[in-house]
Amino acid sequence: MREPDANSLPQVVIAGCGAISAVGCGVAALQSALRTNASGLRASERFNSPRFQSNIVGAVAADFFEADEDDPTYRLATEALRQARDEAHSILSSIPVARIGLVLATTKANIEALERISENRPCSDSARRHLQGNLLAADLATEFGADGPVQCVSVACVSGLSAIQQGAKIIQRGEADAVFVIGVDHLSAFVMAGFTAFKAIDPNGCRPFDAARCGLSPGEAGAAIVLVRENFALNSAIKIRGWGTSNDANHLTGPSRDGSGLALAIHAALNSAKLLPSQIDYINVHGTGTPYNDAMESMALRAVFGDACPPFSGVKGMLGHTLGAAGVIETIVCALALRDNVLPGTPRLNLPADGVPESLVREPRAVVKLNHILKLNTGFGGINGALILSHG
Amino acid sequence: MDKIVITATSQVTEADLKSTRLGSRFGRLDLMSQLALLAVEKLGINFDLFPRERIAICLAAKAGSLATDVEFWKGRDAAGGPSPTLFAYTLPSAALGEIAIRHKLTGPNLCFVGDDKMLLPEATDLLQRGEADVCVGVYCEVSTPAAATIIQSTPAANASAFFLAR
Repeated sequence: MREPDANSLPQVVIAGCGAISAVGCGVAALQSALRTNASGLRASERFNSPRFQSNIVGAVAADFFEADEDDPTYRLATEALRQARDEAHSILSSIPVARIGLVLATTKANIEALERISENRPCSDSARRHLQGNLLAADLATEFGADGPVQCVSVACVSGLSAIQQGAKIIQRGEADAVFVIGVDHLSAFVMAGFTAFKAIDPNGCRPFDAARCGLSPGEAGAAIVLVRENFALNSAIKIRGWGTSNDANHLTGPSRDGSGLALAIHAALNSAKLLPSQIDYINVHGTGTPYNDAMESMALRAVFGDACPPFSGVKGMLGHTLGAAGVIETIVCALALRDNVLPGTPRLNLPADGVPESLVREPRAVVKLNHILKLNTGFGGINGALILSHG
Repeated sequence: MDKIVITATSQVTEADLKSTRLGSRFGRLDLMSQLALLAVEKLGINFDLFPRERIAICLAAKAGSLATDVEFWKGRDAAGGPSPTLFAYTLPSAALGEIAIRHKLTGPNLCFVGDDKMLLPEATDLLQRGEADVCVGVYCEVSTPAAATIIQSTPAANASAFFLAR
Protein backbone atom coordinates (compact mmCIF):
# COMPACT_ATOMS: atom_id res chain seq x y z
CA MET A 1 0.00 0.00 0.00
CA ARG A 2 1.36 3.42 -0.95
CA GLU A 3 2.15 5.78 1.92
CA PRO A 4 0.53 9.22 1.63
CA ASP A 5 2.87 12.16 1.22
CA ALA A 6 1.67 14.90 3.56
CA ASN A 7 2.79 17.53 1.09
CA SER A 8 0.77 16.05 -1.77
CA LEU A 9 -2.51 15.43 0.08
CA PRO A 10 -5.38 17.50 -1.32
CA GLN A 11 -6.39 20.52 0.70
CA VAL A 12 -9.85 20.48 2.27
CA VAL A 13 -11.89 23.67 2.61
CA ILE A 14 -15.19 24.81 4.08
CA ALA A 15 -17.90 25.40 1.45
CA GLY A 16 -20.94 25.94 3.64
CA CYS A 17 -22.11 26.16 7.25
CA GLY A 18 -25.38 25.81 9.12
CA ALA A 19 -26.31 26.22 12.77
CA ILE A 20 -29.23 26.22 15.13
CA SER A 21 -28.56 26.95 18.78
CA ALA A 22 -29.59 28.90 21.83
CA VAL A 23 -28.89 32.16 19.98
CA GLY A 24 -31.18 31.36 17.07
CA CYS A 25 -31.58 29.61 13.78
CA GLY A 26 -29.00 30.26 11.09
CA VAL A 27 -25.36 31.30 10.93
CA ALA A 28 -26.44 34.95 10.75
CA ALA A 29 -28.04 34.61 14.21
CA LEU A 30 -24.81 33.12 15.54
CA GLN A 31 -22.78 35.91 13.95
CA SER A 32 -25.06 38.54 15.45
CA ALA A 33 -24.64 37.05 18.94
CA LEU A 34 -20.86 36.94 18.45
CA ARG A 35 -20.79 40.64 17.53
CA THR A 36 -22.65 41.63 20.71
CA ASN A 37 -21.15 38.99 23.01
CA ALA A 38 -24.72 37.95 23.80
CA SER A 39 -25.62 34.93 25.89
CA GLY A 40 -28.35 32.49 24.90
CA LEU A 41 -28.43 30.91 28.36
CA ARG A 42 -31.88 31.18 29.91
CA ALA A 43 -34.16 29.51 32.43
CA SER A 44 -36.07 26.75 30.65
CA GLU A 45 -39.50 25.44 31.58
CA ARG A 46 -38.41 22.02 30.29
CA PHE A 47 -36.04 21.61 33.22
CA ASN A 48 -37.91 23.45 35.93
CA SER A 49 -37.70 20.59 38.41
CA PRO A 50 -35.87 19.89 41.67
CA ARG A 51 -34.44 16.83 39.90
CA PHE A 52 -32.02 19.14 38.11
CA GLN A 53 -29.30 21.31 39.59
CA SER A 54 -30.41 24.29 37.49
CA ASN A 55 -32.79 25.09 34.68
CA ILE A 56 -30.49 27.70 33.13
CA VAL A 57 -29.42 26.11 29.87
CA GLY A 58 -28.58 26.86 26.26
CA ALA A 59 -31.85 25.68 24.71
CA VAL A 60 -33.10 26.14 21.16
CA ALA A 61 -36.33 28.19 20.97
CA ALA A 62 -39.17 25.93 22.05
CA ASP A 63 -41.27 26.70 18.96
CA PHE A 64 -38.62 25.14 16.71
CA PHE A 65 -39.77 21.68 17.74
CA GLU A 66 -43.11 20.07 16.95
CA ALA A 67 -45.48 19.65 19.88
CA ASP A 68 -44.53 16.38 21.59
CA GLU A 69 -41.49 16.02 19.31
CA ASP A 70 -40.06 12.51 19.63
CA ASP A 71 -37.03 12.94 17.35
CA PRO A 72 -35.55 16.34 18.25
CA THR A 73 -32.00 15.31 17.35
CA TYR A 74 -33.01 14.57 13.78
CA ARG A 75 -34.85 17.91 13.59
CA LEU A 76 -31.79 19.82 14.77
CA ALA A 77 -29.47 17.94 12.42
CA THR A 78 -31.66 18.34 9.33
CA GLU A 79 -32.11 22.08 9.92
CA ALA A 80 -28.36 22.68 10.23
CA LEU A 81 -27.60 20.44 7.29
CA ARG A 82 -30.19 22.13 5.07
CA GLN A 83 -28.58 25.52 5.74
CA ALA A 84 -25.07 24.25 5.02
CA ARG A 85 -26.14 22.43 1.87
CA ASP A 86 -27.95 25.53 0.59
CA GLU A 87 -24.86 27.68 1.08
CA ALA A 88 -22.71 25.14 -0.78
CA HIS A 89 -25.37 24.42 -3.41
CA SER A 90 -23.46 25.71 -6.43
CA ILE A 91 -20.44 23.56 -5.56
CA LEU A 92 -22.38 20.45 -4.57
CA SER A 93 -24.41 20.54 -7.79
CA SER A 94 -21.25 19.65 -9.71
CA ILE A 95 -20.38 16.65 -7.50
CA PRO A 96 -22.03 13.23 -8.06
CA VAL A 97 -23.93 11.99 -5.00
CA ALA A 98 -21.68 8.92 -4.87
CA ARG A 99 -18.79 11.30 -4.22
CA ILE A 100 -20.49 12.99 -1.24
CA GLY A 101 -19.93 11.50 2.22
CA LEU A 102 -21.32 12.25 5.66
CA VAL A 103 -19.79 12.18 9.14
CA LEU A 104 -22.03 12.61 12.16
CA ALA A 105 -20.77 13.68 15.59
CA THR A 106 -23.05 13.00 18.53
CA THR A 107 -22.70 11.88 22.11
CA LYS A 108 -26.27 10.74 22.80
CA ALA A 109 -28.01 10.59 19.39
CA ASN A 110 -31.80 10.58 19.96
CA ILE A 111 -31.72 9.76 23.67
CA GLU A 112 -35.23 11.25 23.84
CA ALA A 113 -36.45 7.86 22.55
CA LEU A 114 -35.04 6.04 25.58
CA GLU A 115 -36.80 8.46 27.91
CA ARG A 116 -40.09 7.93 26.05
CA ILE A 117 -39.85 4.14 25.88
CA SER A 118 -38.94 3.96 29.59
CA GLU A 119 -41.99 6.04 30.48
CA ASN A 120 -44.37 4.31 28.05
CA ARG A 121 -44.87 7.51 26.08
CA PRO A 122 -45.42 7.42 22.29
CA CYS A 123 -42.26 6.91 20.27
CA SER A 124 -42.16 6.48 16.50
CA ASP A 125 -40.10 3.78 14.82
CA SER A 126 -37.75 6.39 13.33
CA ALA A 127 -37.23 8.09 16.70
CA ARG A 128 -36.38 4.68 18.20
CA ARG A 129 -34.03 3.92 15.29
CA HIS A 130 -32.20 7.20 15.85
CA LEU A 131 -31.14 6.08 19.32
CA GLN A 132 -28.28 4.51 17.36
CA GLY A 133 -25.95 7.16 16.01
CA ASN A 134 -24.87 5.12 12.99
CA LEU A 135 -28.48 4.70 11.87
CA LEU A 136 -29.14 8.41 12.44
CA ALA A 137 -26.12 9.13 10.22
CA ALA A 138 -27.39 6.71 7.56
CA ASP A 139 -30.83 8.32 7.48
CA LEU A 140 -29.33 11.83 7.24
CA ALA A 141 -27.17 10.65 4.36
CA THR A 142 -30.21 9.24 2.55
CA GLU A 143 -32.24 12.41 3.08
CA PHE A 144 -29.45 14.71 1.90
CA GLY A 145 -28.23 12.64 -1.01
CA ALA A 146 -24.87 11.56 0.32
CA ASP A 147 -24.17 8.16 -1.22
CA GLY A 148 -20.46 8.16 -0.33
CA PRO A 149 -18.83 7.00 2.92
CA VAL A 150 -20.90 7.48 6.10
CA GLN A 151 -19.49 7.46 9.62
CA CYS A 152 -20.74 8.23 13.13
CA VAL A 153 -18.06 9.35 15.57
CA SER A 154 -18.66 9.59 19.30
CA VAL A 155 -15.62 10.75 21.24
CA ALA A 156 -17.39 12.60 24.05
CA CYS A 157 -17.07 16.38 23.75
CA VAL A 158 -14.30 16.05 21.16
CA SER A 159 -16.77 14.37 18.75
CA GLY A 160 -17.25 17.48 16.62
CA LEU A 161 -13.54 18.06 16.03
CA SER A 162 -13.04 14.35 15.39
CA ALA A 163 -15.83 14.41 12.79
CA ILE A 164 -14.25 17.35 10.95
CA GLN A 165 -10.92 15.51 11.01
CA GLN A 166 -12.60 12.36 9.63
CA GLY A 167 -14.39 14.33 6.94
CA ALA A 168 -11.10 15.85 5.82
CA LYS A 169 -9.40 12.45 5.81
CA ILE A 170 -12.17 10.91 3.67
CA ILE A 171 -11.60 13.64 1.08
CA GLN A 172 -7.81 13.42 1.27
CA ARG A 173 -7.97 9.64 0.76
CA GLY A 174 -9.95 10.24 -2.42
CA GLU A 175 -13.07 8.46 -1.15
CA ALA A 176 -15.24 11.55 -1.65
CA ASP A 177 -15.05 15.07 -3.08
CA ALA A 178 -17.40 16.54 -0.47
CA VAL A 179 -18.41 15.53 3.04
CA PHE A 180 -21.28 16.78 5.18
CA VAL A 181 -20.06 17.05 8.78
CA ILE A 182 -22.85 17.35 11.34
CA GLY A 183 -22.60 17.83 15.08
CA VAL A 184 -25.79 17.40 17.04
CA ASP A 185 -27.04 16.80 20.54
CA HIS A 186 -30.45 17.50 22.03
CA LEU A 187 -30.85 18.85 25.55
CA SER A 188 -32.43 15.92 27.34
CA ALA A 189 -33.55 15.03 30.85
CA PHE A 190 -31.02 12.18 30.58
CA VAL A 191 -28.06 14.54 30.15
CA MET A 192 -29.40 17.05 32.68
CA ALA A 193 -29.78 14.24 35.25
CA GLY A 194 -26.25 13.05 34.51
CA PHE A 195 -24.59 16.42 34.98
CA THR A 196 -26.76 16.99 38.07
CA ALA A 197 -25.48 13.69 39.49
CA PHE A 198 -21.96 15.03 38.95
CA LYS A 199 -22.93 18.37 40.52
CA ALA A 200 -21.30 19.89 37.46
CA ILE A 201 -23.92 22.54 36.56
CA ASP A 202 -23.49 26.20 37.53
CA PRO A 203 -26.87 27.12 39.09
CA ASN A 204 -26.53 30.66 37.74
CA GLY A 205 -25.31 29.82 34.24
CA CYS A 206 -21.73 29.06 33.32
CA ARG A 207 -18.96 31.68 33.50
CA PRO A 208 -15.95 30.25 31.68
CA PHE A 209 -12.56 31.44 33.01
CA ASP A 210 -14.22 33.56 35.68
CA ALA A 211 -12.87 33.62 39.22
CA ALA A 212 -16.33 32.64 40.47
CA ARG A 213 -16.98 29.88 37.93
CA CYS A 214 -18.47 26.72 39.41
CA GLY A 215 -19.77 24.58 36.58
CA LEU A 216 -21.06 24.22 33.06
CA SER A 217 -24.41 24.97 31.42
CA PRO A 218 -25.76 22.19 29.24
CA GLY A 219 -26.82 23.28 25.77
CA GLU A 220 -28.21 21.88 22.55
CA ALA A 221 -27.42 22.59 18.92
CA GLY A 222 -27.30 21.30 15.42
CA ALA A 223 -24.30 22.45 13.42
CA ALA A 224 -23.16 21.45 9.96
CA ILE A 225 -20.16 22.13 7.75
CA VAL A 226 -19.76 21.13 4.11
CA LEU A 227 -16.16 20.17 3.41
CA VAL A 228 -14.94 19.95 -0.19
CA ARG A 229 -11.72 19.34 -2.06
CA GLU A 230 -9.97 22.63 -2.59
CA ASN A 231 -10.30 22.54 -6.38
CA PHE A 232 -14.10 22.76 -6.07
CA ALA A 233 -14.07 25.98 -4.03
CA LEU A 234 -12.91 29.56 -4.20
CA ASN A 235 -9.28 30.31 -3.43
CA SER A 236 -10.39 32.41 -0.46
CA ALA A 237 -12.15 29.48 1.23
CA ILE A 238 -11.07 28.53 4.74
CA LYS A 239 -8.86 25.46 4.96
CA ILE A 240 -8.80 22.62 7.45
CA ARG A 241 -5.07 22.94 7.97
CA GLY A 242 -4.23 20.35 10.62
CA TRP A 243 -5.39 18.40 13.65
CA GLY A 244 -4.29 16.35 16.60
CA THR A 245 -5.83 14.22 19.32
CA SER A 246 -4.40 12.76 22.52
CA ASN A 247 -5.45 11.14 25.76
CA ASP A 248 -4.58 12.25 29.29
CA ALA A 249 -4.52 8.58 30.38
CA ASN A 250 -5.23 9.92 33.83
CA HIS A 251 -8.91 10.00 34.86
CA LEU A 252 -12.19 9.09 33.18
CA THR A 253 -14.12 12.25 34.01
CA GLY A 254 -11.57 14.76 35.27
CA PRO A 255 -8.98 16.57 33.16
CA SER A 256 -5.28 16.15 33.83
CA ARG A 257 -4.10 18.65 36.42
CA ASP A 258 -1.11 19.87 34.41
CA GLY A 259 -2.58 20.28 30.91
CA SER A 260 0.05 18.00 29.40
CA GLY A 261 -2.48 15.89 27.47
CA LEU A 262 -4.07 18.90 25.77
CA ALA A 263 -0.61 20.34 25.09
CA LEU A 264 0.24 17.07 23.32
CA ALA A 265 -2.82 17.42 21.06
CA ILE A 266 -1.92 21.05 20.28
CA HIS A 267 1.63 20.09 19.33
CA ALA A 268 0.28 17.29 17.11
CA ALA A 269 -2.02 19.77 15.36
CA LEU A 270 0.79 22.30 14.89
CA ASN A 271 3.04 19.58 13.44
CA SER A 272 0.32 18.41 11.10
CA ALA A 273 -0.32 22.00 9.96
CA LYS A 274 3.43 22.68 9.71
CA LEU A 275 3.02 25.80 11.83
CA LEU A 276 4.89 27.20 14.80
CA PRO A 277 3.08 28.26 17.96
CA SER A 278 3.98 31.87 17.15
CA GLN A 279 1.97 31.65 13.91
CA ILE A 280 -1.36 31.05 15.69
CA ASP A 281 -3.38 34.26 15.74
CA TYR A 282 -6.31 33.21 17.94
CA ILE A 283 -7.40 30.21 20.01
CA ASN A 284 -11.01 29.21 20.61
CA VAL A 285 -10.84 27.14 23.78
CA HIS A 286 -13.14 24.46 25.21
CA GLY A 287 -13.92 26.64 28.26
CA THR A 288 -16.70 24.71 29.98
CA GLY A 289 -16.72 26.88 33.10
CA THR A 290 -15.85 24.02 35.45
CA PRO A 291 -12.99 24.89 37.81
CA TYR A 292 -10.75 22.03 36.73
CA ASN A 293 -11.27 22.25 32.96
CA ASP A 294 -10.52 25.95 32.67
CA ALA A 295 -7.48 25.70 34.95
CA MET A 296 -6.16 22.78 32.92
CA GLU A 297 -6.62 24.67 29.66
CA SER A 298 -4.78 27.68 31.08
CA MET A 299 -1.86 25.41 31.95
CA ALA A 300 -1.88 23.76 28.52
CA LEU A 301 -1.78 27.18 26.82
CA ARG A 302 1.18 28.23 28.98
CA ALA A 303 2.94 24.95 28.26
CA VAL A 304 2.70 25.46 24.50
CA PHE A 305 2.82 29.22 24.11
CA GLY A 306 4.73 30.30 27.21
CA ASP A 307 4.27 33.98 27.98
CA ALA A 308 3.28 34.71 24.38
CA CYS A 309 -0.17 33.15 24.41
CA PRO A 310 -2.24 34.41 21.44
CA PRO A 311 -5.65 35.98 22.11
CA PHE A 312 -8.12 33.31 23.18
CA SER A 313 -11.75 33.08 24.23
CA GLY A 314 -14.57 30.60 24.71
CA VAL A 315 -18.22 30.81 23.73
CA LYS A 316 -19.97 28.33 26.02
CA GLY A 317 -21.32 31.28 28.00
CA MET A 318 -23.22 32.05 24.79
CA LEU A 319 -24.27 28.57 23.59
CA GLY A 320 -23.92 26.33 26.62
CA HIS A 321 -22.03 23.08 26.35
CA THR A 322 -23.53 21.52 23.24
CA LEU A 323 -21.60 18.23 23.64
CA GLY A 324 -21.40 16.44 20.28
CA ALA A 325 -22.24 19.65 18.45
CA ALA A 326 -19.66 21.74 20.33
CA GLY A 327 -16.69 21.06 18.07
CA VAL A 328 -18.67 21.79 14.91
CA ILE A 329 -20.50 24.93 16.01
CA GLU A 330 -17.37 26.33 17.67
CA THR A 331 -15.43 25.65 14.47
CA ILE A 332 -18.07 27.70 12.65
CA VAL A 333 -17.39 30.46 15.21
CA CYS A 334 -13.70 30.22 14.22
CA ALA A 335 -14.53 30.31 10.50
CA LEU A 336 -16.58 33.48 11.04
CA ALA A 337 -13.68 35.02 12.98
CA LEU A 338 -11.29 34.22 10.11
CA ARG A 339 -13.67 35.56 7.51
CA ASP A 340 -14.53 38.79 9.35
CA ASN A 341 -11.23 39.37 11.21
CA VAL A 342 -13.09 39.74 14.49
CA LEU A 343 -12.04 37.97 17.70
CA PRO A 344 -15.01 36.48 19.58
CA GLY A 345 -15.40 37.45 23.24
CA THR A 346 -16.05 35.33 26.32
CA PRO A 347 -19.71 35.89 27.23
CA ARG A 348 -20.68 36.03 30.92
CA LEU A 349 -17.09 36.60 32.04
CA ASN A 350 -16.84 39.07 34.92
CA LEU A 351 -13.46 38.75 36.64
CA PRO A 352 -10.85 36.39 35.11
CA ALA A 353 -9.54 33.78 37.52
CA ASP A 354 -5.96 33.76 38.77
CA GLY A 355 -3.63 31.89 36.44
CA VAL A 356 -5.62 32.61 33.27
CA PRO A 357 -3.31 33.98 30.55
CA GLU A 358 -3.74 37.73 30.12
CA SER A 359 -4.58 37.40 26.44
CA LEU A 360 -8.11 36.21 27.30
CA VAL A 361 -10.50 38.17 25.06
CA ARG A 362 -13.42 39.49 27.10
CA GLU A 363 -15.34 41.43 24.45
CA PRO A 364 -15.33 40.90 20.67
CA ARG A 365 -12.86 43.08 18.84
CA ALA A 366 -11.76 43.68 15.28
CA VAL A 367 -8.20 42.87 14.27
CA VAL A 368 -6.22 43.63 11.12
CA LYS A 369 -5.88 40.07 9.84
CA LEU A 370 -6.33 36.56 11.16
CA ASN A 371 -4.49 33.81 9.29
CA HIS A 372 -4.44 30.75 11.55
CA ILE A 373 -6.88 29.77 14.29
CA LEU A 374 -6.56 26.91 16.78
CA LYS A 375 -9.75 25.25 18.06
CA LEU A 376 -9.66 23.09 21.20
CA ASN A 377 -12.05 20.63 22.83
CA THR A 378 -11.60 18.11 25.62
CA GLY A 379 -13.88 15.41 26.96
CA PHE A 380 -14.70 12.55 29.29
CA GLY A 381 -12.35 9.63 28.79
CA GLY A 382 -9.39 12.02 28.99
CA ILE A 383 -9.66 12.83 25.29
CA ASN A 384 -8.23 16.05 23.84
CA GLY A 385 -8.69 17.47 20.35
CA ALA A 386 -7.11 20.35 18.45
CA LEU A 387 -7.94 21.64 14.97
CA ILE A 388 -6.28 24.40 12.96
CA LEU A 389 -8.15 26.52 10.40
CA SER A 390 -6.34 28.79 7.97
CA HIS A 391 -7.15 31.29 5.29
CA GLY A 392 -6.78 30.00 1.73
CA MET B 1 8.34 1.88 3.76
CA ASP B 2 7.66 -0.94 6.21
CA LYS B 3 4.47 -2.88 5.66
CA ILE B 4 1.67 -2.31 8.17
CA VAL B 5 0.51 -5.61 9.68
CA ILE B 6 -1.70 -6.98 12.41
CA THR B 7 0.66 -8.57 14.93
CA ALA B 8 -1.88 -9.82 17.48
CA THR B 9 -5.61 -10.46 17.77
CA SER B 10 -7.98 -11.48 20.54
CA GLN B 11 -11.64 -12.20 21.19
CA VAL B 12 -13.49 -12.28 24.49
CA THR B 13 -17.06 -12.86 25.66
CA GLU B 14 -18.92 -12.12 28.88
CA ALA B 15 -18.06 -15.63 30.10
CA ASP B 16 -14.37 -14.69 30.11
CA LEU B 17 -15.05 -11.95 32.65
CA LYS B 18 -16.08 -14.36 35.42
CA SER B 19 -12.55 -15.13 36.50
CA THR B 20 -11.00 -11.80 35.54
CA ARG B 21 -9.99 -8.83 37.63
CA LEU B 22 -7.75 -6.27 35.95
CA GLY B 23 -6.83 -3.83 38.69
CA SER B 24 -8.77 -2.59 41.68
CA ARG B 25 -11.25 -0.53 39.64
CA PHE B 26 -12.24 -3.32 37.26
CA GLY B 27 -15.44 -4.30 39.07
CA ARG B 28 -16.72 -0.73 38.89
CA LEU B 29 -16.43 -0.45 35.12
CA ASP B 30 -19.40 -0.98 32.83
CA LEU B 31 -19.69 -4.19 30.81
CA MET B 32 -18.33 -2.70 27.59
CA SER B 33 -15.26 -1.26 29.31
CA GLN B 34 -14.58 -4.58 31.04
CA LEU B 35 -14.80 -6.48 27.76
CA ALA B 36 -12.66 -3.93 25.93
CA LEU B 37 -9.97 -3.97 28.64
CA LEU B 38 -9.88 -7.75 28.69
CA ALA B 39 -9.64 -7.97 24.89
CA VAL B 40 -6.65 -5.60 24.94
CA GLU B 41 -5.06 -7.52 27.82
CA LYS B 42 -5.36 -10.77 25.80
CA LEU B 43 -3.38 -9.22 22.96
CA GLY B 44 -0.34 -9.70 25.20
CA ILE B 45 1.36 -6.54 23.99
CA ASN B 46 4.27 -5.04 25.90
CA PHE B 47 3.40 -1.37 25.54
CA ASP B 48 6.73 -0.39 27.11
CA LEU B 49 8.33 -1.09 23.75
CA PHE B 50 6.73 2.04 22.25
CA PRO B 51 6.57 5.72 23.19
CA ARG B 52 3.17 6.06 24.86
CA GLU B 53 2.24 9.17 22.83
CA ARG B 54 2.80 7.19 19.61
CA ILE B 55 0.26 4.48 20.47
CA ALA B 56 -3.20 5.18 19.04
CA ILE B 57 -6.50 3.65 20.13
CA CYS B 58 -9.29 3.14 17.60
CA LEU B 59 -12.57 1.75 18.91
CA ALA B 60 -15.96 0.93 17.40
CA ALA B 61 -19.06 0.08 19.41
CA LYS B 62 -21.91 -1.54 17.51
CA ALA B 63 -24.73 -0.19 19.68
CA GLY B 64 -22.83 2.72 21.20
CA SER B 65 -23.31 2.83 24.96
CA LEU B 66 -27.01 1.94 24.90
CA ALA B 67 -26.71 -0.93 27.41
CA THR B 68 -25.22 1.43 30.01
CA ASP B 69 -27.64 4.22 29.01
CA VAL B 70 -30.53 1.92 29.94
CA GLU B 71 -28.94 1.05 33.29
CA PHE B 72 -28.26 4.70 34.09
CA TRP B 73 -31.77 5.78 33.20
CA LYS B 74 -33.31 3.05 35.36
CA GLY B 75 -31.93 4.95 38.34
CA ARG B 76 -33.66 8.23 37.47
CA ASP B 77 -36.21 7.94 40.27
CA ALA B 78 -33.80 6.65 42.89
CA ALA B 79 -33.30 8.68 46.04
CA GLY B 80 -30.44 11.05 45.26
CA GLY B 81 -30.91 10.59 41.52
CA PRO B 82 -29.16 8.35 39.03
CA SER B 83 -25.58 7.14 39.52
CA PRO B 84 -22.81 9.60 38.62
CA THR B 85 -20.47 6.64 38.16
CA LEU B 86 -22.73 5.11 35.53
CA PHE B 87 -23.18 8.46 33.78
CA ALA B 88 -19.47 8.48 33.02
CA TYR B 89 -19.97 5.28 31.03
CA THR B 90 -22.89 6.56 28.95
CA LEU B 91 -20.41 7.35 26.19
CA PRO B 92 -18.89 4.67 23.95
CA SER B 93 -15.54 6.40 24.28
CA ALA B 94 -15.48 5.61 28.01
CA ALA B 95 -14.12 2.16 27.14
CA LEU B 96 -11.40 3.83 25.11
CA GLY B 97 -10.57 6.07 28.08
CA GLU B 98 -10.29 3.05 30.36
CA ILE B 99 -7.83 1.40 27.96
CA ALA B 100 -5.77 4.61 27.88
CA ILE B 101 -5.75 4.90 31.68
CA ARG B 102 -4.79 1.26 32.32
CA HIS B 103 -1.91 1.25 29.85
CA LYS B 104 -1.02 4.98 30.03
CA LEU B 105 -1.56 5.40 26.29
CA THR B 106 -1.53 9.10 25.39
CA GLY B 107 -1.60 8.88 21.59
CA PRO B 108 -4.41 9.69 19.11
CA ASN B 109 -7.96 8.46 19.70
CA LEU B 110 -10.83 7.58 17.35
CA CYS B 111 -14.21 6.18 18.37
CA PHE B 112 -17.07 5.13 16.08
CA VAL B 113 -20.63 3.95 16.60
CA GLY B 114 -21.50 1.12 14.24
CA ASP B 115 -20.01 -2.06 12.89
CA ASP B 116 -16.32 -2.90 12.57
CA LYS B 117 -15.98 -2.19 8.83
CA MET B 118 -14.10 1.09 9.20
CA LEU B 119 -11.96 0.02 12.14
CA LEU B 120 -8.97 -1.53 10.35
CA PRO B 121 -8.87 1.01 7.48
CA GLU B 122 -8.99 3.95 9.91
CA ALA B 123 -6.34 2.42 12.18
CA THR B 124 -4.15 1.78 9.13
CA ASP B 125 -4.66 5.36 7.98
CA LEU B 126 -3.45 6.67 11.36
CA LEU B 127 -0.18 4.82 10.85
CA GLN B 128 0.17 5.71 7.18
CA ARG B 129 -0.22 9.40 7.99
CA GLY B 130 2.42 9.13 10.69
CA GLU B 131 -0.02 10.17 13.44
CA ALA B 132 0.99 7.06 15.40
CA ASP B 133 3.55 4.25 15.24
CA VAL B 134 1.18 1.50 16.36
CA CYS B 135 -2.54 1.20 17.03
CA VAL B 136 -4.78 -0.79 19.31
CA GLY B 137 -8.07 -1.55 17.53
CA VAL B 138 -11.09 -2.66 19.57
CA TYR B 139 -14.58 -3.67 18.48
CA CYS B 140 -17.32 -4.02 21.11
CA GLU B 141 -20.69 -5.61 20.60
CA VAL B 142 -22.61 -5.09 23.82
CA SER B 143 -26.37 -5.18 23.97
CA THR B 144 -28.02 -6.35 27.17
CA PRO B 145 -31.46 -7.97 26.87
CA ALA B 146 -33.09 -4.66 27.90
CA ALA B 147 -31.11 -2.67 25.34
CA ALA B 148 -31.65 -5.30 22.64
CA THR B 149 -35.41 -5.11 23.18
CA ILE B 150 -35.38 -1.36 22.64
CA ILE B 151 -33.44 -1.50 19.38
CA GLN B 152 -35.07 -4.78 18.31
CA SER B 153 -31.78 -6.66 18.04
CA THR B 154 -30.18 -9.74 19.61
CA PRO B 155 -28.44 -9.56 22.99
CA ALA B 156 -24.65 -9.72 22.75
CA ALA B 157 -21.63 -9.22 24.99
CA ASN B 158 -18.29 -9.67 23.29
CA ALA B 159 -15.26 -7.73 22.18
CA SER B 160 -12.36 -8.30 19.84
CA ALA B 161 -9.06 -6.49 19.49
CA PHE B 162 -6.08 -6.25 17.19
CA PHE B 163 -2.67 -4.64 17.36
CA LEU B 164 -1.43 -2.90 14.26
CA ALA B 165 2.24 -2.15 13.72
CA ARG B 166 4.85 -1.74 11.02
